[in-house]
Formats: sequence, structure tokens, C-alpha cells
Amino acid sequence: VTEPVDRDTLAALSQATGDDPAFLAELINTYLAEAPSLLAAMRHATATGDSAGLRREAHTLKSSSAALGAGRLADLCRRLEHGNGPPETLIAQAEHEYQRVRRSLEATRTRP
Amino acid sequence: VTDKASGVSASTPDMVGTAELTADPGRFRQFVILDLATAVAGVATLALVWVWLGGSWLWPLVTATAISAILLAWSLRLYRQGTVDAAVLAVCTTFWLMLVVAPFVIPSLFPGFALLMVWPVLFALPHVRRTTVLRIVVVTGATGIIALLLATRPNPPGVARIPESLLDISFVLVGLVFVALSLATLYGYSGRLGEVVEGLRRANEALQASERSLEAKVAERTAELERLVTTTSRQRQYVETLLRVSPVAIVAVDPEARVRSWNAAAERLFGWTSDEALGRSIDDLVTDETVRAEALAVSQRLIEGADIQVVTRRVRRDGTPIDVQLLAGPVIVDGELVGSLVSYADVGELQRARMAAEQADRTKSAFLATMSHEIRTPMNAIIGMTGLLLDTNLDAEQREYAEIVRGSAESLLTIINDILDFSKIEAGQLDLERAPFNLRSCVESVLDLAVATLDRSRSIDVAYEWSHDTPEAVVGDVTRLRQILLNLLSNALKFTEHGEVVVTVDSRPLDDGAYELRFAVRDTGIGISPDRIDKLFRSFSQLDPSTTRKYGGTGLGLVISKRLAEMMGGSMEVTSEVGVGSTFRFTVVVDVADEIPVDVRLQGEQADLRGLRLLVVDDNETNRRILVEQTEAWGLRVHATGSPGEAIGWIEAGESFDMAILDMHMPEMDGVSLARRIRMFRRSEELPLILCSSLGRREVDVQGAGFTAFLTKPLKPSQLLDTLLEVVVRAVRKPVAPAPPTAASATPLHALRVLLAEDNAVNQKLALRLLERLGLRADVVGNGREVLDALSRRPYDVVLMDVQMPELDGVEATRHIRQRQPGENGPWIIAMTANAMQGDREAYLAAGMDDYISKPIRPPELADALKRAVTRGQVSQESPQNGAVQSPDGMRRD
Repeated sequence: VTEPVDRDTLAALSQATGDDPAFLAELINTYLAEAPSLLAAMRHATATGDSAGLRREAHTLKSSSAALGAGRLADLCRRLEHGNGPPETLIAQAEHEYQRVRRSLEATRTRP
Repeated sequence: VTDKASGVSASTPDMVGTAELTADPGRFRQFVILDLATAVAGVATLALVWVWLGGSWLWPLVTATAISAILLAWSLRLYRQGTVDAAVLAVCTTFWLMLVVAPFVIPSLFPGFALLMVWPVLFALPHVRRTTVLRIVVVTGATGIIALLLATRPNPPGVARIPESLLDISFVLVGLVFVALSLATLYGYSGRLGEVVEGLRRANEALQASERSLEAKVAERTAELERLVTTTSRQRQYVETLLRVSPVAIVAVDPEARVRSWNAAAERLFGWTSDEALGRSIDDLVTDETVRAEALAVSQRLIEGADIQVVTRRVRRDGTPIDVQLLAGPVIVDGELVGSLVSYADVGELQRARMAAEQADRTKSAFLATMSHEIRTPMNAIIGMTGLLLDTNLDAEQREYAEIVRGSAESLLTIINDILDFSKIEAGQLDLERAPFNLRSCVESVLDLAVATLDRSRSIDVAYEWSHDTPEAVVGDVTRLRQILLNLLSNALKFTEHGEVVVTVDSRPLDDGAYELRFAVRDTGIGISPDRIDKLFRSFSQLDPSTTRKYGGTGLGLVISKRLAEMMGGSMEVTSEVGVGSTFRFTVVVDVADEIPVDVRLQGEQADLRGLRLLVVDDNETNRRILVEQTEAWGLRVHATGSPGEAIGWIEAGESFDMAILDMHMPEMDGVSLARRIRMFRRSEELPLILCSSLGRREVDVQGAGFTAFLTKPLKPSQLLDTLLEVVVRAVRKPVAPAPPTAASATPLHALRVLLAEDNAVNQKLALRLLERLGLRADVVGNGREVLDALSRRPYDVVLMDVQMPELDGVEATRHIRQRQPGENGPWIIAMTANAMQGDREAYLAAGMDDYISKPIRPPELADALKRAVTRGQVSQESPQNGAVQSPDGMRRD
């Protein structure tokens, strides 16, 4: 099973930002605070047929996820952004994937 | 009756009958007078006898002559008056007198007079009554005898004696006359008179029949008249009853809108009685201030002769409003408008029913939406989880089962989505989006998606042809356009076992500045028979059940696509031939967007390519044609062939080419083998080779063939151009070592004033941190609008611009900046985006961005970009090592 969060990316990120656990934790906290509302917004946008909104939210989550190394989640968001597949399915997958990412990042945060 | 009979007899004097004569007191008096006259004649005769016996003859003679003259005159008058009997008697009397007198005057005429007596009898016989005839016969006989007796007497003195011979003849004649008269009388009774009587009887009958007929006629006419009167009255009653019992209120008004007729239903509906309503203005009667204006407008239109049908509101006498359906039309008699007929039907119930129905419909729609949502949520969970399951370590059997679960779930979801879409369209609830988008990207992404899902075992060439004058930046509903294209393309791929599927896009400008986009998806599939084409676009009618079993689907996809095309102002049609293939064409109308830069790069000749010689080897004619057309448009000199053998022949013969595009899948020899053959004659530097293969077929072994670049089908012009340019640049430009920035010209990095435009909190933090580590502090804004605000407050050297931001995106913001500050004065703008597509990069550069870094941001890339910013593009002549930006004609576009 692939890791939800790519350790190498995270390590590179950590290194690039000066190996500062506090900053990394802050970054992760920001991400974890932001992601659920983005996912909710994506689901809402899909339900209301707001394709522009869906693209925007998916893009944002894709960006953040990619930055933190959550490659699979980023990929799901990319597909959502570009309409490459049924949105509901992708969101369901993204929500599930996010739970894995969250667990992984929380573990990272508490285990600097 | 008496009057009538006299009237009739007066008009027919010849037909006088006995009954009538005796019955008439006036005529009876005439007979009395006649008999009196006869008596007088008798007296006169006795007087003559007296004279003959010894008295004087003069007085009796004068008296008799006078009486006979009077009687003659009177008889003529009577005859003229139609009293035949009297007249005949009068004549006879005259002759009798003359017969008595004549022998004394002119004895020789005596026999003549005797004969003369016959005439009146014969003449009058058919016309007179029986008693009259008898009277005549008797008197004539008596007269004759008296005359003869007188004649036989010795003449008085002085009177000539009648000769003996004449006397004898006179006796004979008188006897004959008498016999004749008797016979005539008898004859009259037995024959002629019978006939006369019979004639009279018949005449009488005829008269009576005539009278009866007349009476009958009169009765008939009378009855008819009565009937007519009755009918008219009944009809009138009928019509009045119709109006009265009509359940619809019917009101007739005159041209001034005053009520002329007001039926019972109107009384019930509005509460005004007919008496109250008549003569009043309809517009005052059934309105209040809320609807008066509308009612006046209706009346006005009626005066103008219009027919009106409207559901509106009127007001009852008690002020309560009622919903009515008002139907009205002008009443025109002999070309003149005499008023209007207006009917009011209470549709309150209907309105309520309609509202209930609409409510029910809404409930149903809501139910459908909820249900579909409720169904789709677990469906998505199933598909999503199965997808995740498939990413885990499964054995072959488990994988197969999981694949089946996912496949089935996806089919089911497609069906549910189709049904939802369809019901939305049917309910008119599908709203189209109107937003600018890139048409080319849209079409190409559909092609990518469709081809990616293509079953690789099938050998289908997918080609794509874009007409140059088609606008790329358009305003419309990209999602729905994608849906149509994807549906048609999936169908084409589904029903095509081998051959090709070609998508063409062109356009036609419309008068109002909009464009009609024309799409065609042509395949070489199983085709559709003519009798089924008609059914194709109807709901729930895929070709036939067997097709459904084989290929799946609800058959709704095409219906939805057609309806969507129509909603976008276009249409859809199909031509097909069984066994040959089908072509689906559709059009949509879009506006041209001016917000997205139109990529003019692909149009016209390319300076870097002009005159270069290109070899194209592709067995697929469509692909080859598209390739040739496209590359020739860019100024290349193209040699194309479908045969690898021929291509090798050209090269062996020494033909020189600057580059070659080889198709991978060719029956004669595949692209890799062909490349190896070519490499035997030409080195990679001499002839760069480009391999063209379908997506998802990258697993072929291309090692050793020395390809310089790869193209994936369907070919997209932008991709093709980028690849060709890349090959040319690589071939022409020798790799050079990046020149270190000259310290003299460089602004120290930490002196740069940086504006970070990024809406994503995580990336914001990350970018700030990275900048910080490079010794830079940056100001942060969240969207393009804020970028413009920030720039108007203070100058920045560098703007790190996220491309996709709310409010105003990076591309738009950049365009605004460049408009405000053209040339060198503006900030150096570095795009930040994860959109690594070639076309996007070009769009950024065209919008005025200077550089580009990909996200997630990597520190060295950021540092390099900032260094380039310091030197203002002086180092941008070389390719950045990371290869994120590559534009053959340089980064900077001022």
C-alpha cells in the first residue's frame, strides 16, 4: 500500500524550510485546518452543480496537498479540477484519502 | 259564407246557378216584376181582343208596343247584369206582343214572327231555369193560338186581310214551332239540360274543390306562418336558454364596454343581477383598483378587434377577487363592430389544482434529486473504496472481483447520472453555465480522457482536426460541451472495432458576433441502419435490446447530448451506413471570450520551421492528411507517405530531410523498426525522428531507435508545434553552459521587493518561509485584485503570482499590470502553478508573465527564478536546468 504522504517530499520540505519542526507543525496544522472545509466545499459545489467552484476548491486542495507530499490526494484533486472522472466518486475517494493523509500528518507532527 | 259566395259569383257571371238565383231576394223581386209584366202583356192582349171585337185597335197597339220596347230594353239590361232568365223572359215577351200585333200591321210577316219565337227559347234554354222554360213554352203556345184565332177572324175595317195561303202556312209553322219547342224542352231536360246541369254540378264541385283547395292552402300557409313564428320564437328561447344555463359567465358589451347582456352564470359569478349590470361599464363592474388598468387594456384591445384569451383576476360585488379565464372576441355585424362577447370561467379550482400539481412536481423533483444524491453517495463510496482496494496488494482473483465491482458500480452511476440529467432537462431545471473557457483545451482533454479509457486490444486510430479560424477562447458551458463530446466520442470508440475515429472542429461566424461551433465525430464502426436512426435520439431507445446487452448504456446519452446541443443554440444530426460507420455532427452557439488570450501562436507560418523538410510516414490517411495540412500551414515542406518502404526508398536515394514523424502502428513495418532502418542511413543529429503513437502504448521498446521526441495521438496542434520546435531548437542550438549572472549588473537578491500573490494558506506559509530563507521578506495578497491594489500603493520588483486565484486570476492580473505599466517599468512577474501543460505556459507568457515556476515550489527553482529576476531575464537565454520553462523564442515578451 502506498504511503498517503510521501516521506521524501516531506523531508525535502522540512529541509528546505530549515528543519524547523515548529514551522512544519504549523504548516501541517494550517493544512489540516483548511482541508476539511475545502472538501466540504467541493462536495457542496458538486451537489449544486457549481463546476467553477469545484474547480477552484479542488485546485486549492491539490496545491496544498502536493506541497505536503500527499501525492495521491493531490492527484485526485487534480482530476477533480480538470473534470477527469465523475466528481462524486473522486470526492468520495478524496475524502477517504484525506483521512489517511490526516492520520499520517498527525503522526508526523507529534513525532518530529 | 254568403258574402264569399256572392263575391265569387260576381266574378263568374256565366256560371250563375239556380240555387243562387232563387235564394237572392233582389233577383226574386225581378222575377216578380217579370211576371207582373207578363200579366200586363196578357192584359194588353185582352185589350186587343176587346178592340177586335168592336173597340178601337189604336190604344192597345200603342200600349203593347211601348211595353214591349220597355221590356226589351230592360231585358238587355238584365242580361248585362247576368240575370239570364229575366232577360230571356223579357225578350220572349217582346216577341209575343209583336206576334199578336204583327198580323194587324204587316200580315205577310206573320209566319216570320211565328218562327222568330223559336229563337229565344233555343237561345236561352241552356241558360235558364226549368220554370222559365216552361213559362216560355206555355206563353208562346198561348200567344200563337191567340194570334191564329185573331188571324182567322174577319179583319176590322181598314185592316188588310191576311191571305189564306199564308194563314195556312202560319198554322203549320206555329204548330211546328210548338212541336219544336216541346221537343226542345224535352231534349233540354233529357240531354242538353242534363249536360248543363251536370256541367253546373261539376262547375259547382270544381268551385267547391277550388274553395276547399284554397281553404287548404290558406290553412297551410297559416300553419306554416304559425310554425315559422313558433320556430323563431323557440329558437330565440333556445338561444336565450343556452345563455341562461351556460355554466360560464357570458357578457355582451357594446363598443363603449357597457353591458348589454348578462347571463345567470355572470350573476352567480360576480354577484350583480342582470338588471343591475345592464348599461354599466364592465370595467367598473368587475374590477377594483388592482386590476382596473388591466381590464381597461383588455377592453381597448377588444375595441381594436382583437381576440383575447387570458387568465386573470376579477372582483366580485362583495370585493373578493376571483381567478378567471377570460375569453373574448369582437362581435362584428355587417362589417361593423357592435361590441364584444366576453366569457369568464372561474378557474380558481384549476389554479389551485395547478399549484397542487406544481407542488407535487417540485416534491417529485426534490425527491428525485434527494434520491439520486442518496444513491450516489453510497455508489461513490463503493467506487472510491473499490479503487482504493485495487491499490492494495490483491491476488489475481481478488483483483478480478474488485475490478468487476468497480466496473459495475461505474456503469450504475453512469445510468443514474444519465437519468438525473435527463429528468433535469425534461423538467427544464438544467441551467447552463456561461463562463469563458478554452475550447481547444476542452476538446483535447476529452480526447485524452476518451483515448485513455480505450481498450488497448483494439487497433483504432484517433485523429483530431482543428480548423484554424475557430476561436479558442469562447464563452459557454464547458462542462456540458465536454459531456456531449465525451458521449459521442465514447460511443464512437465503443462501436468501432477497427479503423479510425476522427474528431473535427470548425466554426462559422454568425451575424451577431457569436460563433457557431461545428463538431463532427466520425467513426468506421458498425453503423446504424436507416430505420433505427430515427429512434436514436428518442428517450430510452438504444439501437435494440441486444445492443444494450452487448455495449451497455441506457440509450439516454444521445438524447441528453442532443438536448444539450439544442439548449446551447445548436442541433445534432447523424449520418450512418451499416458496416461503414457513422458521423455524428452537432453545433453549439458560443460567444467569443475576450478574457482568455487567443493562442495566435498556432496560426500562420512559424519562423523557426519555415522551409524545413519534413518526412511523414503514417499509414492512416486521415492522420497523414491532418499532419500534412497542419505542418504545411506552418511553412514546412512535407513529404508524406503511407508506406515505410517508400520512405526508406527516398532516404536511400539521398533525399534530405530535416526531421521525420513516424507512426508507431503500421501494418507493413512499425515505427520503431522503420526508425532502426533509417538510422542505418542517417544519424540522430542528421535526421531527428519523432515517434507518433497512441496514448497508453508507451510500453513499446523504443530503445536503440534513437527517437528525439514522442507524439501521442490524437495529435494536437499545440503539442505538435511544441515538439517540432523542440526538435529544431535541440538540433540547431548547441548546449551551452549557463553563464553565471554578472555581479555588476545584479541587484542583491535580498534587496528585491517581492509581492507574493497566493490564496492558499499552506502555500502562502511555505513560500514565505522559502523566501525568508533566501533572505527576502515578502508582502502577501490573496487574489489578483489585491495584487493590483498593492502595486498601486508601492512598487515591487517581483511578483510571485499564483495563477489560479479567486476574484481575479493571475493571468488577468498580469494583463492588467502590463496595461498599466508597459515595458521595463513593471514588476517581474513569476507565475506559480501546477498546470504544466504546454498551452497554458504559452498563455501565461502571452499575458505578459516573465517566468514560471511549478508548484509545489522547490527551493532551488525559486532561487533560480529570483536570480533571473535580478538580472531581468539576462540569464533566461539558456534553458533553466529544471526544464520547467521552455520557450524557443525566449522568455521575455515585452
